[in-house]
Amino acid sequence: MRGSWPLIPAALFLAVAFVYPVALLLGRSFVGSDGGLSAENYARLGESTVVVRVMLITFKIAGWTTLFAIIAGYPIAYLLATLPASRRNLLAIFVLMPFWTSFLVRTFAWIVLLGRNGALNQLLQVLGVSDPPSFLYQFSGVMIGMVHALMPLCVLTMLSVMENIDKRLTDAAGTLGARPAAAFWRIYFPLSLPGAAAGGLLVFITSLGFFITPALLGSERETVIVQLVIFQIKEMLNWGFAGAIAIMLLVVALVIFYIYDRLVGLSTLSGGDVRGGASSRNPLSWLGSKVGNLLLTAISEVSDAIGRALGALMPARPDRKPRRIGGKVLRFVALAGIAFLAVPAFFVVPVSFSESQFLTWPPKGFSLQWYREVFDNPLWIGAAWRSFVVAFSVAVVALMLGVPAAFYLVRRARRTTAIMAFLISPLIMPHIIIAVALFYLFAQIGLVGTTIGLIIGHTVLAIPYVVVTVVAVLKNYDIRLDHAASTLGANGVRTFLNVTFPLIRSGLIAAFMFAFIISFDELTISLFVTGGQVTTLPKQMWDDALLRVSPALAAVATLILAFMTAVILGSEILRRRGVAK
Amino acid sequence: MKMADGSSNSDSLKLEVRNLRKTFGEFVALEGASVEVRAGEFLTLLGPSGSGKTTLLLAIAGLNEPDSGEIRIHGDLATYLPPYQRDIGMVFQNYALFPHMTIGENIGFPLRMRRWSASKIDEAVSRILDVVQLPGTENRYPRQLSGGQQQRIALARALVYEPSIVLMDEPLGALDKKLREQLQYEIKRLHERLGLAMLYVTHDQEEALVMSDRICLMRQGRIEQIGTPEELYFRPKTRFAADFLGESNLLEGEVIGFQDGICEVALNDGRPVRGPTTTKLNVGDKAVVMIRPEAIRINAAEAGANSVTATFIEAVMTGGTTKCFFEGHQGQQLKAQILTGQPRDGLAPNKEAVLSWEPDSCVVLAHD
Ligand SMILES: Nc1ncnc2c1ncn2[C@@H]1O[C@H](COP(=O)(O)OP(=O)(O)OP(=O)(O)O)[C@@H](O)[C@H]1O
Ligand SMILES: [Mg+2]
Repeated sequence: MRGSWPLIPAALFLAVAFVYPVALLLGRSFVGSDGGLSAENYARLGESTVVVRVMLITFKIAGWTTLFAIIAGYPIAYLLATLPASRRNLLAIFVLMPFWTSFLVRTFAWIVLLGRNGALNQLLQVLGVSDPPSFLYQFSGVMIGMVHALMPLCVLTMLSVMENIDKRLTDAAGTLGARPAAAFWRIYFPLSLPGAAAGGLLVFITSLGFFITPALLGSERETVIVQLVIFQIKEMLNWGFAGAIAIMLLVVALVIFYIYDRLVGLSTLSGGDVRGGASSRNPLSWLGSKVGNLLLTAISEVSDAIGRALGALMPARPDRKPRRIGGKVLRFVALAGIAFLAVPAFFVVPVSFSESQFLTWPPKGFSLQWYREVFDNPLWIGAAWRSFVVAFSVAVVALMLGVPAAFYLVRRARRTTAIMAFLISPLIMPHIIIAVALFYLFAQIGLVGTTIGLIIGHTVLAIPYVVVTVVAVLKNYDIRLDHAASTLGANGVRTFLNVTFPLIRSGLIAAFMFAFIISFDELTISLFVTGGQVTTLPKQMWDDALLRVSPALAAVATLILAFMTAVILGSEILRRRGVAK
Repeated sequence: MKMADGSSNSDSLKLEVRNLRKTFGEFVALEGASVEVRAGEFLTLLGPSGSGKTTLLLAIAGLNEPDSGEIRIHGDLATYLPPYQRDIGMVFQNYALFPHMTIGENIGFPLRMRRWSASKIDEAVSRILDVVQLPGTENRYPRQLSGGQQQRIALARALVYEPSIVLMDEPLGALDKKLREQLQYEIKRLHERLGLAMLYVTHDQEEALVMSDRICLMRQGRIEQIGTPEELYFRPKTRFAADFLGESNLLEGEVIGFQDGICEVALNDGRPVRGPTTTKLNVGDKAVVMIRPEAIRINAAEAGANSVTATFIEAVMTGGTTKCFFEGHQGQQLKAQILTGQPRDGLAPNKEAVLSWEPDSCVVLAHD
């Protein structure tokens, strides 16, 4: 591996701060209560009815979240993929809204919206529903929060596949005699399925590691596996058992990835080609495609029959422009979905100015008392400052590690897929595993409760985003420009500074933003690594929320919302200026 | 397969487009476009990039909505009918084969949409695969075939249900020259064998000349001229048509008189020349005389009725023919094309030569 030095810092970092701790945790889970090698922790997994029950609930939540995210996200992705680029980019900003707005902010927004006297119920009452049910502290509340949180991921993944579907194919089907419904179900839908599968996979795996939404929007009945791990460590100090649960989660994730790879091929995760045709030799995928084909034919026949019946009722007029009802319905559904993603976060704003002691809707009066309370509390100020320092450091470190690795991947590497898989592996690992593993390691070397520990933990999560972003930019970058510069007499450093850097600048800014936001919004790792001694903004919000949800939290949420918006607008202006040059 | 002149009753009209107009916002992409395609006719839409060929074709296919005008397919009004209710076949430039279906499923698709039985579909598919000379490829996937083969499959898919008219938008644009020529020949053969009405789009003039019964020349959303390849080549109606199709010499002058339908023009250097005209011209109008390079004779023993003198610049051999370049009055460029190896009497650089041609091998056009 000559000339692989750009990869070494990132690889080394991940080996020490990610692979090693996870392996350590794995090893620890095989240590029994007597200190010897034993599988007793795993035996307990099966025996414990609590674990089994919680596991089932976790899968149920993840499964439904995945299903809803795909179904609700599909029309949005479809609309975005078929719009002209200019309008698509505008809508994409709204789709990404939840991603930019802090996780906890969003969850509070749902508390405001979904409560017994929340905005949603009041709307329902106005609409004539007497005594509407409370959505909060229920399965339905958890569902709404989870789908809201994960749908953007699903939409973007599906979009990356749909963008590559040739629009002419549906046109061709039309000229060949297919009604729009048949053209959709027989041509477009099968081609977009890998996107739905990839989106679903990411949502499912991420859901398995979620706990904030179930904890804040659900009840005890919606306790998920991660909460169990936290409980085992924080309350029972049972490392081995917690490790075993985490490892089981990991195994489940890996098995799902394996099945997915067999069926669809992992390369679709990054918008690559579907492995079609050739894979039909593999029996699993053969069966899948047979069943799928039957199902599709059935759906297509039914919708075609409906289409024909409608066509008989209202025949197409050759002399008049058709009214495109289908298109309008699609647009309405997709825009409603986008509104669902973009609007809720803003509900925290009016609540934060409330005079009331509780999160009531509509907020009563106008006062700045909650802001005063936040600013007077050194705990909040300290947390905010630490979050900022950590996020900034993480962004710098992740860029220093990730950018050379990305360069190496695009310019030199041979076994790109394997290296890429390694670099982005923290992304597909449930965060709780990384958190527990790091806590276990840090506890032994005294990094728990330190800012350095936080930075290390968050950097593990940020590196994949930096690598993916920079690789995407570099792939579109014409290396001949560098060659041209060097033939014109520029040395390596000057080429980079004067030619390469200005061109990839906007990509680097985006990567920096990603890393910053991921760290700024991170809770899982912080929850463990801070060890209760120091605090970050999300952790402080979490601790407070567990005690009492007060308008003070809405004030914090509003401040974070304003801060994030400023950061994003700022970076966008920076980026635009770079592009315009 | 051409119809005898004038016998175009509406029964044999497979496609009629009347006065079609299409705008994209402010931009007028089609204006007053009228075309007819008769049964068994091969009509080509030819024109520079952006002249509205694709726009017209898509309107006929029902893939975009015209602002006004009328489209009839096999006599039935179809202006705003959805594509699936039109009796058309369409071949796209990038083939638009369904990547997740086998060749057999691709070709069978329009038949399944028409609710044929499975056995009839299989039969029809294997028959059409024989016709396009790719028998036995039913179970392969599109990406396992070469570009030329994929194009033949696309053709087979558009032909298998015997539509009233087949539309093709630059179907050979993505292929290399050799393959393109081979497929041109095959499409032509299929067209004759199946007696299809075809509307073909290209911006390759040679392709248009080789394949078409008639050519419809388009320019900036309007139809410039429709006619047989011969008419367009030898009797263009406008300067644009003359310039676009083939190579031409354009000499400017002024109309000075008419005699038996032949127009007399005084060239800018004062020489009078004669030729037929395809447009309405009056005495005193500015005009251009168009002569094809191969119609010009150099220093011929008996100079034709029309002639000019010009200074010889150079000769360039282009294979079977040689192009000779001259500079005439006021630096006017002139080219003549002769067979390579043909004697070039008295032709030497910077020496004057006499270029002559027969009146009926040139056309007098409006100057515009
Ligand atoms: N959807 C559209 N929106 C706006 N303008 C369009 C659209 N489609 C076509 N145009 C414009 O209409 C004009 C005609 O386009 P068209 O595609 O018909 O040209 P063409 O003759 O097929 O050219 P080419 O030989 O390059 O394919 C072009 O100037 C094009 O920019
Ligand atoms: Mg075109």
